[in-house]
Amino acid sequence: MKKMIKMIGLMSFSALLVVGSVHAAEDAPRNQGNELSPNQGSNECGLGWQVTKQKTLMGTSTRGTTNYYLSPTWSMTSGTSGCQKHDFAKKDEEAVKYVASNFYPLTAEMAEGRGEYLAGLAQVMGCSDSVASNFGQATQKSFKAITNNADAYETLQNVKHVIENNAILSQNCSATI
Amino acid sequence: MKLIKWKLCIFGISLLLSCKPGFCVENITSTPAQNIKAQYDENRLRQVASDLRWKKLLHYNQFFPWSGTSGEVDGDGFYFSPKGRVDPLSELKATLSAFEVNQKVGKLNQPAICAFPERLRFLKEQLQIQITAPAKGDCPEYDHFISKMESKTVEIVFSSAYSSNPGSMFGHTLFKFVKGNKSDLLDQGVSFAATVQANNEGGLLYVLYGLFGGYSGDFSFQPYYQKVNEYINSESRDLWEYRLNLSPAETHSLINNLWEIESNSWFDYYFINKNCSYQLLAALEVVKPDWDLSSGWFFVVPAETIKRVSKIPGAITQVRFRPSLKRKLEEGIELLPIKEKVEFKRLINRDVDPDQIDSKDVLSAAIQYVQYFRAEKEGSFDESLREFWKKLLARQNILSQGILVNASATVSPAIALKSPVGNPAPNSGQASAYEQLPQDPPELGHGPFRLSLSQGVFQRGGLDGGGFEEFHIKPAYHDLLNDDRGYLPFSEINFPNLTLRYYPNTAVLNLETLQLVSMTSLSPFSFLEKRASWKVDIKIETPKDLACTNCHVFHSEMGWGATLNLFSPKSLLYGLIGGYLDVGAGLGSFYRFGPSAELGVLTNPFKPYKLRLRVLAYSDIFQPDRPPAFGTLELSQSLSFLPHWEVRLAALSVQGLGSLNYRFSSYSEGKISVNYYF
Repeated sequence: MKKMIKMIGLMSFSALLVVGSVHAAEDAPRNQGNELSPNQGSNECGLGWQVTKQKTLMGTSTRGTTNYYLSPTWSMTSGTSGCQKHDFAKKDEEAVKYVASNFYPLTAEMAEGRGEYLAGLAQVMGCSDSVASNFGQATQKSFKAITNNADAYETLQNVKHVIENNAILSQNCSATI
Repeated sequence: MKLIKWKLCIFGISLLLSCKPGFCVENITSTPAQNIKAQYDENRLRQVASDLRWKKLLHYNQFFPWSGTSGEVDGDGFYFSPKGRVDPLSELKATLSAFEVNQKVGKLNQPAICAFPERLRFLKEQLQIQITAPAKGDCPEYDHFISKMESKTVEIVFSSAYSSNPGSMFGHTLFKFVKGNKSDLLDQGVSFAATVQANNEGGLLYVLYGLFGGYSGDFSFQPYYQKVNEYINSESRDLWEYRLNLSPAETHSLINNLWEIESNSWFDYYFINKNCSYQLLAALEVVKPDWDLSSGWFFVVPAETIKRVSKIPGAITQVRFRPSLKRKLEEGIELLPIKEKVEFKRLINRDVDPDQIDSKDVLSAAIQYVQYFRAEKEGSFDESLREFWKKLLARQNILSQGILVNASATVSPAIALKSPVGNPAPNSGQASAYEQLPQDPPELGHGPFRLSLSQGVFQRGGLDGGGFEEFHIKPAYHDLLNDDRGYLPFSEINFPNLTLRYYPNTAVLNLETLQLVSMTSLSPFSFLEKRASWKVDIKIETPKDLACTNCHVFHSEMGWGATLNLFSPKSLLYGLIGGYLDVGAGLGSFYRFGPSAELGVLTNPFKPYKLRLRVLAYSDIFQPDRPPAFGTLELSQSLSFLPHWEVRLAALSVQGLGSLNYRFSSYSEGKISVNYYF
């Protein structure tokens, strides 16, 4: 009954507000449960966040959202499409997802040795804030070795090697191979 | 429906059949409610139930500005009592019962104390109840959620409009839960959105469902970097981040309430008033009931919600601006010296190899350009572009290391100019993703609702027609002559609006215009994108080319074309070509149609002032005894006094075109309008 009243009430002035319908079509998730749109035309792990825009009247249709935080059983199926070929530990899920989602801006910052994506990676690697600039310099120095044709998972492993071989970082970052 | 379930359950119990938990939530409350009465002082229960904080926890709000408050959560599983939506006392008692009998509830079929942690916290505080709070491990799903969400404070993030998509032309708001880390990319973004199935996109059904609550709305939780990727990188939208004055405890309560909704139930989604932006306000009121954010909305426009919050003294402690990738790229290119601009163009045209570039700024711009290009034209990111990208990074890496003596020395002049001023960067020592606040924050814009009074004079066939007065009302939103601050520049979206005109000489009151919708998007061609401009206009109006003051036609018109910047980004030259259809009794054959065109100049030389000169031409070949076309020349100016007032001057002249063999009653008018926005 309450819904009926709501419906009738809204209908009575909706004629005045039809245009409003386009508003807040904003963000309607189309790919429930699939956080990232699938890689198009590639099976690489680490092409990063793929934007397959199909501009429609009502929204970008590839928007994906997920409520995976609602469930501890959230699995690797989302966020790292293309990465399934690697058999990595659960503890690396968030890190692989981070690198895969941000692959392009992250590697661009790594080349320069600074930036927010790099700071985020240091955080994901469990590095204390005090060594953030060391982390930037170390990954910049080993940039070629880290990113050489590597996908997201391999990039992550390479970063871990850099941490392990760096006296300061190995003491101040918790990520392990 | 609920009643039927309840009756079925009672019937089931009477038959000694067990009811599954969750399906028949309501019946369980009936018996223990007796115990509640004995255990607690009824007066105290009444007091707590009438507490605004309790009502807000239950999401009691107004549906319309004139209606009373009731519980807004629409799905089952949120209210224990069958009367929970309208009776806070009944819901209070039912909640206590559910806690005491350890009832399993919600989508996750978890104990009530796990499903409703904020109600438990509030009731323990108010009633000193003996129910033990869950220990670590008792509520694994909740613990997991909290471990991801726990934050220091909250920001409301406003995303500017997405110009290429009518559905996003009003902007958007979301929550950002701030963890206080070095990089805010790992903060949490929370949006409220309608759940639309992939195969149910577009079309009339979508509009109807959206208008009348046919979709359910859910909060979605994502790392903030996903939001940044979506808005900043992919859709070229700027983000404004408004930090709210919430303590860690209030932040925790807000997270708890989101959990209570999301793990148990849902809202129906109404595009106009119970949308993405509204539900954020309603959630905020749970922890700040005295802020009064959710009441009095007729329709909820995202930027208006920011305005509402910013009007509360002390509610916002900090504002930061995160420019889109496109904006950063354009600004980066703009700051390059001419020589480097040329080098940049040669580089991205691949006339020169990255290895030959010695400027970090040029490389930075090229790296951003490839990222922008990749986001815009996904399909075109082929192997050769990927190789180009790798070479750019390798070169940048070499150059950066050469300079990298200490961190501060790496800031190039171009970037240094753009480093934040007055906005503390979260990651000092890092290149900031933030910029100095621009002068056009969304909360400074004009109100969407317009009331207008005009006074004018007109001439027909060269004879003085006398004066007229006009009254105009429009509920929303923004037109081409409005001050663009806070809105998508050079865009127009007019909701249904009405103009009445009164001629004192003849004492005639006429429906001048009843516009159903008009939208215009003028996107100037730039180096980065060449996007079509377009317009749509549907209305009932008194046409000026017919010699009548109170005849009407139903006019619909579409146009498509291109826009160029005229010497500066503040001035546009645009041309649109399309067609129109008029239907009405005043026309020779009740209808006319044909091609139409518009050529215009629109300029905004300084902030509060705008001027538009345009020529509109319509073919009129299907009407007997008429020239083959007619045209309108129009000059309009506006001067705004934000946020409420505006003065406009307009002059127009309508002439027959193409042949002198026909008589055409030319028309001209001039008018001055005073507009009030709220």
